[in-house]
Amino acid sequence: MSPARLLVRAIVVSDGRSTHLPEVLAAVAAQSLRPDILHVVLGEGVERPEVPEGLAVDWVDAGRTYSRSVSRVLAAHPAHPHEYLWLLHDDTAALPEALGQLVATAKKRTAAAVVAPAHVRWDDASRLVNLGVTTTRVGARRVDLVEQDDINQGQYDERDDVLAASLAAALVRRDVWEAFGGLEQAYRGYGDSLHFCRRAWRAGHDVVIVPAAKVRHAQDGLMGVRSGSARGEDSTYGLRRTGEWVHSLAWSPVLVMPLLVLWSFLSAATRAVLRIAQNESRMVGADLAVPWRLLARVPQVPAMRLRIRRGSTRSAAAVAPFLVGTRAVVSHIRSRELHAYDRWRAQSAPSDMVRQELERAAVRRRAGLAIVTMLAVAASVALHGTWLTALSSGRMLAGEALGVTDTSVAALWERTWSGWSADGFGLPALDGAFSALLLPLAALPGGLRVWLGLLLALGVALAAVSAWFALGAATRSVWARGLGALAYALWPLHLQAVADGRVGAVIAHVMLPWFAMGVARAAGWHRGEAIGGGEEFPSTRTPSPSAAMGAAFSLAVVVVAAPVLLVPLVVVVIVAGAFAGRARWRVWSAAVPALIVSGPALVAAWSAGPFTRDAWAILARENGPALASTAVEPWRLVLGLTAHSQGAPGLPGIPGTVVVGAVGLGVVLAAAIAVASGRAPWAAASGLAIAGLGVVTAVAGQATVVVHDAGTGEAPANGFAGPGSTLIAAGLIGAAAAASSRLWIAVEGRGRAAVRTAASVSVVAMAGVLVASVVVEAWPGRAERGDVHAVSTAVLPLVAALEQDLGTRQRVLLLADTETGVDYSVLESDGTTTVTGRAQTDAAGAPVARPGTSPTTPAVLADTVAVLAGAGADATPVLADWGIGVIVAAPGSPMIASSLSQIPELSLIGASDVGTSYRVSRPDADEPVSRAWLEAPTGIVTADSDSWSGAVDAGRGDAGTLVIAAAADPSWTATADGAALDAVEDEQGRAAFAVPAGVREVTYGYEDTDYRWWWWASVVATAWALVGMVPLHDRRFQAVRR
Amino acid sequence: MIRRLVVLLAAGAAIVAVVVSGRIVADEPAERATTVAEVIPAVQPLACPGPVEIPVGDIDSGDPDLGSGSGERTYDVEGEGADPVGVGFLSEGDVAASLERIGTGDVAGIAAAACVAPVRDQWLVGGSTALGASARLVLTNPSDASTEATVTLYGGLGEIEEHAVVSIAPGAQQDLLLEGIAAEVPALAVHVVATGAGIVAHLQDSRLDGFQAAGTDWVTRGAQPGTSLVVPGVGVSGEATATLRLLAPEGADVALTLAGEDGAAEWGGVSALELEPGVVTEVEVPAVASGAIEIEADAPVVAGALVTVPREVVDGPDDALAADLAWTPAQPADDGAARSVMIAEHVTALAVHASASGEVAFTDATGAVVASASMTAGSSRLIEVDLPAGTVVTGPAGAAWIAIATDEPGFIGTLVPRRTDVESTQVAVSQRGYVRDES
Repeated sequence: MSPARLLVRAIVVSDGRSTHLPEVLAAVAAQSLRPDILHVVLGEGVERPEVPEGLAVDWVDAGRTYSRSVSRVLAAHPAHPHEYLWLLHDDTAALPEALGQLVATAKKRTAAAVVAPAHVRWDDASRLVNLGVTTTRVGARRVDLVEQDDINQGQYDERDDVLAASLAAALVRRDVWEAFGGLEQAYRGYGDSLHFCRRAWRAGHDVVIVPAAKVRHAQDGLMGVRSGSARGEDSTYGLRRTGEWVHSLAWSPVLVMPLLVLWSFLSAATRAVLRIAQNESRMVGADLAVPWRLLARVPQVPAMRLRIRRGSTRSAAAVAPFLVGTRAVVSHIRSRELHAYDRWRAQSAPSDMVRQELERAAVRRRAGLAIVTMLAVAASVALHGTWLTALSSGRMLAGEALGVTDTSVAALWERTWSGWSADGFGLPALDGAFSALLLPLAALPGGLRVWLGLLLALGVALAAVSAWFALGAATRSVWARGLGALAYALWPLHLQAVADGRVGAVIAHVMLPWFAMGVARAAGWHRGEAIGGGEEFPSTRTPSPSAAMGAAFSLAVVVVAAPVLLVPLVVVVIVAGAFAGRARWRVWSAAVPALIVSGPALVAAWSAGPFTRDAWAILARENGPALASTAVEPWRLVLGLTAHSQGAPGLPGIPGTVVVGAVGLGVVLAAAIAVASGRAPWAAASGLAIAGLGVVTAVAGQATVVVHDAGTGEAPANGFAGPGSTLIAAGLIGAAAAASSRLWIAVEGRGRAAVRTAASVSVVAMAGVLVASVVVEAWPGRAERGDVHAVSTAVLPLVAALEQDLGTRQRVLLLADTETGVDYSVLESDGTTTVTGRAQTDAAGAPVARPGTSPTTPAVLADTVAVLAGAGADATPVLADWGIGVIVAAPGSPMIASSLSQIPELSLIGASDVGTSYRVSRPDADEPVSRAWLEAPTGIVTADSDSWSGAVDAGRGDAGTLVIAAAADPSWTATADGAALDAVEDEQGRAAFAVPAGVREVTYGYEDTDYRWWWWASVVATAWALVGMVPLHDRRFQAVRR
Repeated sequence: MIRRLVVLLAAGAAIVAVVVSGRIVADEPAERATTVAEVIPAVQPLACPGPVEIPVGDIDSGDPDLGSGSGERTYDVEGEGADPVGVGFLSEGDVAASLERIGTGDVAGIAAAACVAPVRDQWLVGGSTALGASARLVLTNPSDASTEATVTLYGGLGEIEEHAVVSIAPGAQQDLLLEGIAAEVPALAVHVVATGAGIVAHLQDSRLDGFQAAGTDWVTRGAQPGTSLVVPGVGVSGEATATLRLLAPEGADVALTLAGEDGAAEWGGVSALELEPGVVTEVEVPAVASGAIEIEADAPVVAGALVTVPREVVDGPDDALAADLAWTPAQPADDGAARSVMIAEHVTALAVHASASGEVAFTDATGAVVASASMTAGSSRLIEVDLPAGTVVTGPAGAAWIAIATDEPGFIGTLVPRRTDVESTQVAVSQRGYVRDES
């Protein structure tokens, strides 16, 4: 049945926001087969364009949407038999033969409700834009049947039946259009064609694509031209994505709908993470908004589903062959990505000549890295090889500043999550960043013991490798990179930090090069691989957003490890950003996570000053292990020296300053030559400026007391000059390395030999200095720089350590003889722990998080300890009041041990070579000593606690007092059967709450709202940077994807 | 050009940073807080060592003149609630004493011992392990916890390497024959360091000159090492001799003054001494009827005096002399504390050294004056007394004194008064993190 004559009613709808309308009309006029009737629907007040001669136009006023505009036209003109609508947009211009071919197909395929043309690019008709669309079985992903911009070589000419095609410039049977009531409004213009076509199939019609009929499509709506957005395709992403989900809701079985809504949330979250990784931060919001937009459209879905059901004559299985499965989706995505990658490769592929040179450079580079790593590991082993064997035999590193390092994940987690520092009687913590920093190490197999031990033992090797990579941004000379990396790794203050167990300074030294590299690459300042003739490959370097995020993450780690570096490094980021041109926002964003992580400290410093010494002391605080050191002159810091430098064995004539400072001297000399040479002036100037900042930071740091005697047993300490000195080393080495770049081929003629000779001599001299430094430092019998040593992980007797882990969470009072008396320590865990991070107190002993308060600390136990030392009576009630359940006399302390054994209230529970333990009992009760308990007239009920929270089963339900053996703080909260309890004053300064009668379960915990906000903000910022630094779809990719 | 300038500016800035940052004033971190607390130790009972033992054992030869033991032996215990511990006893009272009179045999003489409370650190200056001499250290633990005592000996050549470490069970006693640790040391000083509540140490010094008893006495602990000490009761007459024994653990220059009845007496030659660290030095004391030695040193010293009273031997060879001896430890010159002693049988006099002029009065438990004398500062006096055994005599603060027991035929013994107030000790308490040192 082939009707002799079809009626084609062309309808052009324009909102007046596309500039292509005149061309569209011209294209209609140029058709070999003109439409029978042409309606142009124009928005109100839109000027009518010029109409090509001989074209009869019926002008119509627009409705609110495209579909309504069409309906308005149809309402005004009764239907003819065999009437087809040619639905033109104001950005679709058909090629002259298009309508003829569509009509021809329509005549042949009478069952076709939709006969659609191929869409090609507006500016290049050989490039395909759309040639049919399908969707997945779930329906939540639109799958184009051609790749965007695919070259049309006739490879799709056989295609006819498709699930769907764009209705733009398609012939649609008028009766079908009217039966369907036009397009579904719930799609807001994106996805409605797919829905229409799918309905057509279900209603017993066909959808046919005519590859030979081509329509140029400017995609003004898709590209955001209509909404005036400059973001192109991205501007309509949210609408498109929502449309896809609406489609899936409309076509899925009814029971699956809630799951789909749920899935939309999960999918949005996943895509948001992916967006962060792709550094498309603006799209994160668009993705996260999708499920909410979907929820807003859900009310329209039942009506859509009803219409589908009523209009369907074919079963759902009829369209199933058109739908694609997972494998097809994956291959679709893959080919899209590969396509982009290939195009990038094609744009930037090196010539064969260059490729050979690059390969040679890569071999050199890899060999250099291997040798540097090997040498640095050898140096580490020479310096601290005994630590490695100790770690492998199950021991841990410990030291006066370092404390014990066998800290559990739980301890670190409780510290960072709660904001309650459990050391001593506990203090509110300023932040929990340091334990969060070490948490991943503790979570690895082997725990913190192994990984922190390796971090220290291999501190030199790790620093060398990071410096190697960072120096690659400054120079491509393998020699300069290698020597620079080793000099950085053997920086004397870094060795000191390792030997002292100053974990923070070590981490800062290891991470700083990554930050430097990140900033350099984020701004596009890194060097390309050197190829012949002084060229670099690639010749221009694009700034990398992933590198900026890498710098951001490294900076966050650095400022958590060594907060004193926050100010200088933020200054560096700000200045670098100012010079970074178009990458400035990317560079500046590198400071954001660090600032958020340091937020609590910045606020505290602001309210303590802001420009006073107290404020600086907060900024220069030390989070991890700290130790008092002698403040030294700035020039010593430039050489990386401490107050006392040991001379070399066998060379008594050479002062220690020269021996230990040789590496520093070499570096300063190299930097001086760099300045004098005038090469790489900007890099050299930046390096020197950074070194200058480092000097000021180091001196200001060491001049500030950062650990005060707050009564928790920590020795007061001034700041460590190491982090500032790290900045000096990085600046000087960076300056020298940048100036050394391409020195080998720098000078022409006779000068070249001189330069090359001088360079070779310098390289040999520096290498000699480095080797000599290692030999001197590792010389047998030379006094250790610090006190870090390997010990067994069992610090306390097992009976005591077990009590610390039970639900009663007893504290242990450790006593040790001294020359003049006795030392004591209140221990929360098995040995003094500093790696969980310091609570931070000011000079007056008040926690920085609670200025002006004076929480009770173990300092109040001094008299009690004296009584114990004198074997006096009545000491134990105070201990039980503070949850101290076990007293341990340290090994080698016979005086205190025999004093304790004379005290009748104490009972000996064991003696071993790690100490003698005595149990403390409650004075008038049989219940064991505990961290928290309910005190009622009828007796005591102990709580099941951890370091910051707990619960009591009140059982009998008597009224009483909940006593928490921890320093009182406004952030302690308690609830009884869900109702908040009132805090009561406790004479001894503990946290206590009045418990009413008749309650069953009492819980308590430490809830610091400000801390919690900062914690989450820090987690989000750091996670963002962490995900964003994944080099997924780097700038080079993005350059070609659009 | 501009690039050059930028580099030079940066270099200049770096140098300025080095120079300027040198002017930043450094804050020194404070010292770790230390609390010095007065600790009043729990009151422990006093302990006495018990009877003397005959070094060679009680050998009965059938002939009372040749046997080592004696049929003529009295052992008096004076003190409240005496409770046996080992061969000795404990007393809950403030003062207690034992006095033993052995008429014949190897250990003939008076051996008097004042009971003392346990301390952790004590010096006993006296004893000898030379041929014919025996030094028996009796360690008594009156407390309820076991204790461990480390015994260090000092001789004429300095500290003796061999140490003895003795564990003493609660309420037990242990003997230690020092000649078993270091023989042939003619002049000993013993340093006993004990754990816990401390230990009571007495040293039995018994000497034999051939077949003749050369004296026996208990050496009790003296003052802690100090720079200003007094040894009272060194007055001798006739053939009797007095010897001062000194030891400076860290070495010291000491000035010795012999205080006679009228103040400082002549002491030719040795009044200024240089003591080598750890070396026991003996000085002959001139014979004055009533004497006390004032010791001033520039570093802590310990001291004790030995008085030897020789006597004719009845039924022996013509030229044979037997002797008895008495040890008097040094007392702090003026610690402002009153001391008390339990009077035993045979106590005949109090040897007193006054550090201030005025009336020196001794009272009994009821407060009645039992003896008094008017003395000038820096003089010594022998005040005769006749008091029943069991009288508690308390002397004035600021006087160093001892009770002297004498009996025929030339037996002598001394009882050293003790402070009855509870001495508090100072303990430096500080907080310090704990990680184990060794692996």
